[in-house]
Amino acid sequence: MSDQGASPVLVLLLGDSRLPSGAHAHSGGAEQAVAAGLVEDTATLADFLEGRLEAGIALEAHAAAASCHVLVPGDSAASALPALEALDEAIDARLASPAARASSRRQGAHHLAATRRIVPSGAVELVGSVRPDPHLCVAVGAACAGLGLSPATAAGIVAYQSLAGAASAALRLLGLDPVAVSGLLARLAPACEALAAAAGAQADGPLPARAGPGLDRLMELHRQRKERLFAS
Amino acid sequence: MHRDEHHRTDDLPVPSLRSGPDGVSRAARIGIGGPVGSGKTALVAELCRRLQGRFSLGVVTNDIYTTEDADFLRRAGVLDDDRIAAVETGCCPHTAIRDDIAANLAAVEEMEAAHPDLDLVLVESGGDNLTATFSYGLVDRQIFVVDVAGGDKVPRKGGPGVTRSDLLVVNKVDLAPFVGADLTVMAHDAAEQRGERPVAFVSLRTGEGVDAVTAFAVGVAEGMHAATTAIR
Repeated sequence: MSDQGASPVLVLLLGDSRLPSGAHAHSGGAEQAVAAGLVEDTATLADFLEGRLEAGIALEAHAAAASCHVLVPGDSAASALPALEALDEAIDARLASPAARASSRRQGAHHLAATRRIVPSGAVELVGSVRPDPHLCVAVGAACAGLGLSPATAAGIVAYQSLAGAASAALRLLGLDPVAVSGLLARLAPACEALAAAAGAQADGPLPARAGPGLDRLMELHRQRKERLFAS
Repeated sequence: MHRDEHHRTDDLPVPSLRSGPDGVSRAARIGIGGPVGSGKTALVAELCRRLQGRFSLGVVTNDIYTTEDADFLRRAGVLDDDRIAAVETGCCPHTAIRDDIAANLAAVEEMEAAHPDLDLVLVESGGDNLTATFSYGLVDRQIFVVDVAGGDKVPRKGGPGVTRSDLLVVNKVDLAPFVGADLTVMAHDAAEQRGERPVAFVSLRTGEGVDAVTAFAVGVAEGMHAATTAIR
C-alpha cells in the first residue's frame, strides 16, 4: 500500500511539531535523561535517540502502522473495532512503565481532539469511539488512515515526531546548537525510514516486544519529580 | 476603530476552539499573562478571594516548575485543591497558551467536567516576556499584568500583551516613588498603545485599584453566564 492519491502536504502538516496536539510539552524521557547526566551534549543525545529507536519508538511505529492498516477507508466499523481494542491492549502490555502508558494516552487524547477538527474522518471518529484517550501512535495511525496515507507513512510520522520531540527537549534544556541537533536528526533519517518501512510491511503482524528498562525507569523517575518542566 | 478586531466581537461569548453541542454551556475563561514577578499569581489569589461565593471558580496554572503557583494558591487557601490544576509547558510558557493550547484546553475542560457548576476559570500563564499573548481559542478575555518596578517604559515598548490584551494591569503602584517610575508617563504610553482598551493602576499590596479588575472579571463571568442562560 502506498500514499498514492494522498496529499504530501498533509504528511508535512501531521509531522510538523507545530501541529497543536500538545507534543511540545513532552520530552520522551529526555528531561530525566538530562537530569541523570545521561544526555549532556549532542553526542550523548545521539546515543539516547538511537536507544529510543531500538525499543520505544519501534513499538510506536509498528503500532501506528497497525492502527492505520486496521482503519483503511472501506473497512467496516464492525471489523475494525475489535482489532482496535486488541491493539490498545497489545500496546499497554508492551509499555511496562505506567508513566509511559499515561504519557502516551495523554498525548493521544490531545492528538485525537486536535485532528478531529483539523483533518476530520471516519477513522479518527472510530478510534475516538473506542476511548477518548487512545495511545498516541493509534491516534496518528487513524489520522493517516483518514487521509488515505499508508501504514508506513503513519509509522514514519510517529517515529520522526518521537525523535524530534526528545531532541527538541534536550536542546531547550541544555542549550545545544540547534543546527547540530537538526543534523543529528538528518543522520538518523535512514534508520527512521528503515523502521517505517519494516512497520509498514508488517502492519498486520504482531507488535514487536522489545524491552527498554532504562527508558521505563527514566519515565517513572520523571513522574515522581516535584520539579519538572515537561509533562513526561 | 483603527485596531484589527476581526478575531472577536465585543459581545460574549467569544467563539472558542471548543466545539460540539455542549460548546456554549461552559465556564467563562480569563487568561492572565505577564512577565515574571509582576504579580500574576497574587492577582489570581485576590480575584479568587473577591469572587468566591458569587461564582464557582477554577484556576489553571502554567508555572515553570509545574506546581509552584498551584502550591501558592493552595497555601493561600482560596480554593479547594480540586479546583486548581497545573499544566507543564516544556520550557515554553508562551507555546502552551498560544501556539499549542491542547494541554491547557484539556485541563479547563476536565475541570468543567468535574465541576458542572463552574462559572469562571482563570488560566494563569507562566512568567514570560512582552511578546506573550493568549490564544482566543483558549480564553474569552485576557489580562496582561506588568509592574512599575519593571520600569515605566514598559508600556511604550508595546508587544501583544501591552497593546492587545483586554485589560492591562499596572501593578505595584505603591512602589512607584521608590523606583522612580512615572505613572503619568505609563498612563500616556499605555493609551498611545491601546487606544480605548482599559488600563488599571493597581497595588495588590494596598488594595488600590483592585476593584476595577474585579469588575472586569465579573463582567466576563456574567456575560458568559447570561449568554448561556439565554440559549438554554
